[in-house]
Amino acid sequence: MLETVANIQKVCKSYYLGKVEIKALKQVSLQVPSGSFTFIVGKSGSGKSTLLNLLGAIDIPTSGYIEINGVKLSGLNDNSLSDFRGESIGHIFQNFNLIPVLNLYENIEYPLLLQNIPKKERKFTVNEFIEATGLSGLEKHLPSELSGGQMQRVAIARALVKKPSIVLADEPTANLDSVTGGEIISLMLDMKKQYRTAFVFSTHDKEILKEADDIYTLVDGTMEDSYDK
Amino acid sequence: MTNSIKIAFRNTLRNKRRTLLSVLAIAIGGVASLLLGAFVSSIYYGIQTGISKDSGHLHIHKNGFFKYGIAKVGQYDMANYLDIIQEIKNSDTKDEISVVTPTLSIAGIVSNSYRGTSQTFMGIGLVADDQKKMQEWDGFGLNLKIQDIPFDVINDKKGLMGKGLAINLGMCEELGLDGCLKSEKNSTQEVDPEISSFAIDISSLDKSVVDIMVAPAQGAPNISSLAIAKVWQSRQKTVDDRFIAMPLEVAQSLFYGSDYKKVNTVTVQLKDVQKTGQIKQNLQKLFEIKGWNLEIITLSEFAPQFKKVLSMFGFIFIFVSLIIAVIVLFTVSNTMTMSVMERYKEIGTLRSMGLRRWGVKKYFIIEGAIIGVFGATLGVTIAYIIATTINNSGLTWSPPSGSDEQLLILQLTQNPMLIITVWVLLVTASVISSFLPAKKASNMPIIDALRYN
Repeated sequence: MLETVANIQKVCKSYYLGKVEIKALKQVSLQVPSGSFTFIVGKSGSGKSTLLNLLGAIDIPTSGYIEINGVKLSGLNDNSLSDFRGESIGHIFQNFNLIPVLNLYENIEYPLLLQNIPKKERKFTVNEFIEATGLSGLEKHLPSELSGGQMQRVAIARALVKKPSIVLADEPTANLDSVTGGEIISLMLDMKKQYRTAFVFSTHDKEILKEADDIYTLVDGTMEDSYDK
Repeated sequence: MTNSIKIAFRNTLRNKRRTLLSVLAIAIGGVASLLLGAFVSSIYYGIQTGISKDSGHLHIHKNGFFKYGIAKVGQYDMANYLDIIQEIKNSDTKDEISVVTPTLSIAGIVSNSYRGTSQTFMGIGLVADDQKKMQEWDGFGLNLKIQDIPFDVINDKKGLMGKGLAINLGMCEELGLDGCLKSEKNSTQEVDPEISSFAIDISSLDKSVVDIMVAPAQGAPNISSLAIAKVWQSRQKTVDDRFIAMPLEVAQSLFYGSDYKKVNTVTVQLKDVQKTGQIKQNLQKLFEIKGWNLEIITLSEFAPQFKKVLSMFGFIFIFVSLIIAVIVLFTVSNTMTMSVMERYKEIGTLRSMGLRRWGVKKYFIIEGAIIGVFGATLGVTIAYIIATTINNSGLTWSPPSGSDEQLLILQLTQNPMLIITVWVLLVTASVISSFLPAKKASNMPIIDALRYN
């Protein structure tokens, strides 16, 4: 049996628009096994991003229980949560969100700097990921000098370089053409195999669902049990 | 930390024009503050140098003279002034002393018999060579071109008169001056016919000789003649209209008659004005040991206007500096606020990667510090160039409090504490002004920050 990386039980999340309560998630539960490809699908506004934010420890649930890597998130203060994100969670954003003043190498290196990894070790690890993501030769390039596909590769390398237990990818192929999107998914599959990292995606793209180990469907903040690939 | 500085530095270059404007605002503020500070320093050292040259740093009197001497001069004279001077010259502090010289202040009426004019005067009996040496004092290295006082004439047993006094006595012709009023009558015609037989032939008198009448320490007024060899123009009209310098012996004979070996002041000029307090204490101990009942008055006591003028300019400097600091505060704060607003998404990304709140704050504070350091350094550089240009331009001015005209020398490089203070103030203002936007950025919920485009 696969080890569980993320365990979410009966999580609710509400927002307030003025005095109106918006229930973004209603009693959502899911488990993410180690080294799996888990997809969360649903229409816009169904709560996919909210669920990913909670899994990524960048938002706090209104109620319910979230445990990542055996750590109960509700017991952590802001600094501990930051440290936990730095060590255990990788984020890949739809718009890549690279740091514009850092070049390709430095963007990938940044998460290791936050963990005070020694320079020699950093250099070895960053170069390993640059090679693995096919970005060799572009180390000095700024994000503005890269294509969409290259930027997403950098984002993947940056998310994986610290070897997290779980990587959350919010519609990672949405801003890429289908060929590049396919390459990116393929790259993430390789990474999953190589580093035994669990990936959780939110997506509209039915083409990539064929790679999924698990698929969860959200409808108006409620989790449906199954999805037909 | 190096990495934080690198990232912060690159961020400052993202919007070069905005950063440049902030740097320039700080630099201009720095230039204004530094030049004003240098000017105030120039006033401070200029006035102090002027007073040091004319009056020295310590005045030694018989105890009580400073407070009551003006009304009871005779009670506070020092018959042993030569012993006092000798003791000072032999004391442990002798190497710290530039000049020790006796002076005698007198007041009375001066008249020019030839012109038939008279005027009240304030006189001083002095030792010309000592006064000349005092005029060479340049303890702050200003190399001021202060108008020379022609003390040489006093060595020839002649007098030196204020220009205003000479004009009022009608002595323009003999002293080579302009501006005397033409007398309506010849003074010879004013002699009463009944006493004309006693009258002397006025035309035979030396036109440059004046008669000085002084109420002495004791007895009837004394009168003495004194040839005025030169005039000297003081910037203070009240001094100019009353001043006569004469050989010490002349003043002594006028004031004390035959018992003339007395003065009311021994002036001490120090090499280093900063040691005034220490040397005053040493001399006080010396006088106590000797059993002399003397008081020592410092420059700030005998020239109280010095402190007043300085405190006024000091206040102006602080006031202007505070205004500049507030302008810097708002300018940098505005820049940093804009910078934060443009980088919400980036802040969210960094936080999601594990950067703590303090880490976000740190970036913006370092950015503020970098802008402050560049602005302040640029300000110091520009101020240095301007100050050097002005100092080499030969411009002259007259400091307040009646000092003589002198070269306009902005005391910038001579005043490293001013440069350091203004530099630190500007950088601090810049850091403080970046703190609030930085706090706002770090406190923003990550998901809200990530939503911004």
